[in-house]
Amino acid sequence: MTETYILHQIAAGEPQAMNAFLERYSGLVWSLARRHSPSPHDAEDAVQEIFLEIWKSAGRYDPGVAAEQTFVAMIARRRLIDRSRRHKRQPRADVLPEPEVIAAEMEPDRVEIADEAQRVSSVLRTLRPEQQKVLELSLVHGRSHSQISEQTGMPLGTVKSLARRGLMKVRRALGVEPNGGPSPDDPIPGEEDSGRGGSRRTDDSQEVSR
Amino acid sequence: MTPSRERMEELVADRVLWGLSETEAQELARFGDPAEAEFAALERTGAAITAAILEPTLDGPPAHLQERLRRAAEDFLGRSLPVPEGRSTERAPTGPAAVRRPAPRPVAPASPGSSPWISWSGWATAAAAAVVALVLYLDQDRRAEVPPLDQQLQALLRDDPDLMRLDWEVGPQGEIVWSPKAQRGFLRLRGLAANAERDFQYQLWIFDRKRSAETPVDGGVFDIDTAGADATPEGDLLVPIDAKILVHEAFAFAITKEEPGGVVVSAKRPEQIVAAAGL
Repeated sequence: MTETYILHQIAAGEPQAMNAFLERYSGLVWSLARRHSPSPHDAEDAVQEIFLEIWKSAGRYDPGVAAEQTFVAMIARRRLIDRSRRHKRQPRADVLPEPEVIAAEMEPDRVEIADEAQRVSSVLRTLRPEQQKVLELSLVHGRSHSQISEQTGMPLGTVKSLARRGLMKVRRALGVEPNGGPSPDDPIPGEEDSGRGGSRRTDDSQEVSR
Repeated sequence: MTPSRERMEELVADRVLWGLSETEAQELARFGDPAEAEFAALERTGAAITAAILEPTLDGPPAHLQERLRRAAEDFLGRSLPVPEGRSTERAPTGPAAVRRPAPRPVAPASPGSSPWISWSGWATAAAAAVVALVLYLDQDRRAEVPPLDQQLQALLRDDPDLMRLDWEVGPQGEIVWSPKAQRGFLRLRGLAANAERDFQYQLWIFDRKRSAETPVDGGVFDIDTAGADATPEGDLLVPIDAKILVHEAFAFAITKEEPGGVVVSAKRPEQIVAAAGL
């Protein structure tokens, strides 16, 4: 059976698909934008910007790589992060890949994409409550690690550690691996000099890239 | 795992979660293509988590934004969109029908010159008079079907033997159901006035014995809308509690009226207090 994806229909210029897309995903994009934006007005501008970006990228959506919902959330997060940095007038130390190349970079998944949201929810429930909270504050609310530390009263190192481990645990549960990436034992470029001695930021003012 | 791979994964995770400093970005760049591939995988994971967390409490965009998006879509396609069924409804079908939960935005705390904070118990009592004027009976126009939030509440009541339950003592009828273990809960409300989001929004505060009573935990911002009803079969509106930080030992709850988007620290003027329990 061939499944039809709304994004592909949008890429084909089907107006009815646009209605369906707005109905299905406007809640997700709006909810995320409200949490990342300084005002409702800014959130509304962000939502429109995000949808335009998604529509432009619709033809490159690969259902073998990510669920539509994940694709939408990923572009939404990128644009919201971009907007946040523009508001703060912070330069970026590196450049995010454009949405057009997202599909090419992500490997085909081994899990059933349709079950992804349910699987993620199941895995999240296995995390400690404070770990869930740290991930939510970071990914959904766009809080910095310093802000999370301040809000939760947890040491900065604990916040980082909880979030990293939670993210990696969900990734392992989903079977998401880098496309063509090396195994954990393969050598890494720059291994000799990359070590653990890199400078670490100590406050938000130094966070300049994603 | 070699230390350098561990370091690469740390940097990639930080890039997804918070972004990197310039120094860190340069350090990550030295790992080359494997780091980019790792980033793509973790970014996708982060997006999947984001969608999964938001899914149970999605807010539908306001009607004027829906109209704006339709116009943008028509401009993008270069043709008109068919009018969807039920388009006259205010909200997208993905959102809860009666209670919208926009996220709070950080604003400056109350200025030092503002009125000193009176005790919660004191202003809760003072608020009672104000509440009388605000009470509207909302048990109408409810959806016929069992609302999803009610199912969530029932599941919580069934599965968690250590739930905390408190009746509202000031303001609306109903109760607070809070699971310390799951860090989740619900407000059951009857008699809280509908609000216009542009005028003010309701904000929940959770008092934690491990924290100062002067700085209760933000339990989330929400709206009450009489257009629909996300309610229990008994007619109580349900609001999911969205604690922004870990709550160690909740002992009391309060609802205030705040500026749109909510605040980090409430000024707690008596006229702002619309509900309290456990104080």
